[in-house]
Amino acid sequence: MASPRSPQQAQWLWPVTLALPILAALLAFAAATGAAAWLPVAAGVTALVCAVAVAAVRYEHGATVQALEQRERASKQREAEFQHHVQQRNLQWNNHLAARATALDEAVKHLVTERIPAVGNDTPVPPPYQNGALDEEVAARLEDVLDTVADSAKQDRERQESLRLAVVALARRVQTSAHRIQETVSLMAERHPGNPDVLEASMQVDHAAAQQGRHAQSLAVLCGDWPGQQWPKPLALVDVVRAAASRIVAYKRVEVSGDPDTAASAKVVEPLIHLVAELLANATQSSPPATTVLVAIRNVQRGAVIEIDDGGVGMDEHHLEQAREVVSGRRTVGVGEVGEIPQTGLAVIGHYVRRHGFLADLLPSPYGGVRAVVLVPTDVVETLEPVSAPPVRAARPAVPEERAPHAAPQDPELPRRRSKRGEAAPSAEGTAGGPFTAAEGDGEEGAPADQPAPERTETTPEQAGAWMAAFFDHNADTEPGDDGE
Amino acid sequence: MTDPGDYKDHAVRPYVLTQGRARPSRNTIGLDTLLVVTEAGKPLPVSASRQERELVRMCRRLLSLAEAAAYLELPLSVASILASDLVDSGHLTARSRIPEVARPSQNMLKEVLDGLRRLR
Repeated sequence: MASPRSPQQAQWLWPVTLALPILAALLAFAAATGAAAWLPVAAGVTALVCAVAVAAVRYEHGATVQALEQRERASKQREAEFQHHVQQRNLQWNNHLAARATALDEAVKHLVTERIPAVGNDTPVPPPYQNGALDEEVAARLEDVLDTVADSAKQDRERQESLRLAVVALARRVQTSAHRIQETVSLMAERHPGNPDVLEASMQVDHAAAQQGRHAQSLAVLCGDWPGQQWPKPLALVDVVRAAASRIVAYKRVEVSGDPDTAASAKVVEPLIHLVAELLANATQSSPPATTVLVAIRNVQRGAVIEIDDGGVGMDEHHLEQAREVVSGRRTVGVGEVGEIPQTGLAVIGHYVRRHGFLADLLPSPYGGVRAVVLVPTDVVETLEPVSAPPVRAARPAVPEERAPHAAPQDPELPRRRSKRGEAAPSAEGTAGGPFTAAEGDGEEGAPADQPAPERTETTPEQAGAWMAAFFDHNADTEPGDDGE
Repeated sequence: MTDPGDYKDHAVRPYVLTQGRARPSRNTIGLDTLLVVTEAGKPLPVSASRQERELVRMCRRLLSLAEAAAYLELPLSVASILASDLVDSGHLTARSRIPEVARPSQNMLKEVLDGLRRLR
């Protein structure tokens, strides 16, 4: 409406408007005294002017008020706009903060659940979490965290590996020395064939060394290594069990029965011996000393089964379940996790089961204790030439008459003779040179010295027996004195 | 195994075969004792070891203990413990050394030996 006026422009209006009624009053007073005839006119004019001035002042006032109101409205509007703006900014800021927080949260989560475990497991590390809301600086810090973790994980791995190698190397040395002890005492016993005291001592030392060797091998296996020992030939499962028994304290309590001709292939002989030894150790330890541990060998569709029953009190359900987890190889227990001694054996069994495809399980035994069942799969089960087969005899080479002729045996499972063995050599010579050389042999290796070592042909015990029987039969025919019983 | 000696490692240790015994149940069995099965086909107990079964099979014909031990790859003393057990259980018969009167003279044996060697 009216253009806003500056206060300076209207400043003169107020004094004039105040002065004019005073002037009009003075003029009216003067007119009342009747000093001059123009005075009332002048007073009237002044009053008129005064009225005009008041009107002007009033107008001026209205205009000013209006201007003020207008200004106030504008100011309010500006303020509202400002508030709105502030609100908007706050909102934006909050959103920004929330996005950043979420991004940081996600990035940390990704770091903790994906990248750090990958670093720990030494697997390829996934790329960092990508999000625009994530501060570059924060992202860089997170990378630093990952690098630190990776460094310490690597150091940890290196330390563990070097620890493992050290333990394996020491275990192997202990095992080797145990074998050396066994070898030494065995040779000692062979050098004193007629001396039971020497044999007894040799057996005791042998037995102690066998256990030592087993413990060392357990340690190596728990460290992820495998038996260094290998056997050249398949071994009957009954002998696997006996071999296993020879490595535990209470070997006399082990009683094995079953098919004597079912055998384990050469490559699994040692693992199987060790595995069964650990089961036998557990069985003998967890049953009273007066009880026997019964082992049965059975042939089944999927291979052969070794069943070990102890007469102890068994295990409660919880412990049995835990032991089954370990034995079956479902839970790996390394050298770092085995707690107490009983666990060691179970853990060793689990390692072999996983590696060689045996199946091992524990269940309550009908005898009250625990029954351990080991399935040896078909592909590593062999059948040996039966040892209790009907007689297979060699044609007697030196004697023409044959009482019960049979085909010459082809028996690959029979043990080979040792060529240079102290006591055995002269007697083996006997096969070729005559039966009495055995009696003449003094145990020292004299025989090979004074006779040219002939190319030996493999002879079976049947051939030798036939030869000797023929010799004596012949003797009996010619000499009536007969062989005295 | 790897040693220069003639040691051969066995998985089944001697003390398990003899149940810890170092002395044979009879001391009449020496390295030249001849062993023969008492009665063919007499069943061995189910718990008999392979070594015992093999020993019985070998001795279907006369065999000296020394030879049997060599075939079984067992120390002589261990083989004699096993053989004694089998004699005790009636599976084997031990024919002790040939009595002096029935024994051929040393010279004759030498001649036989030389003759046999010449044959080859």
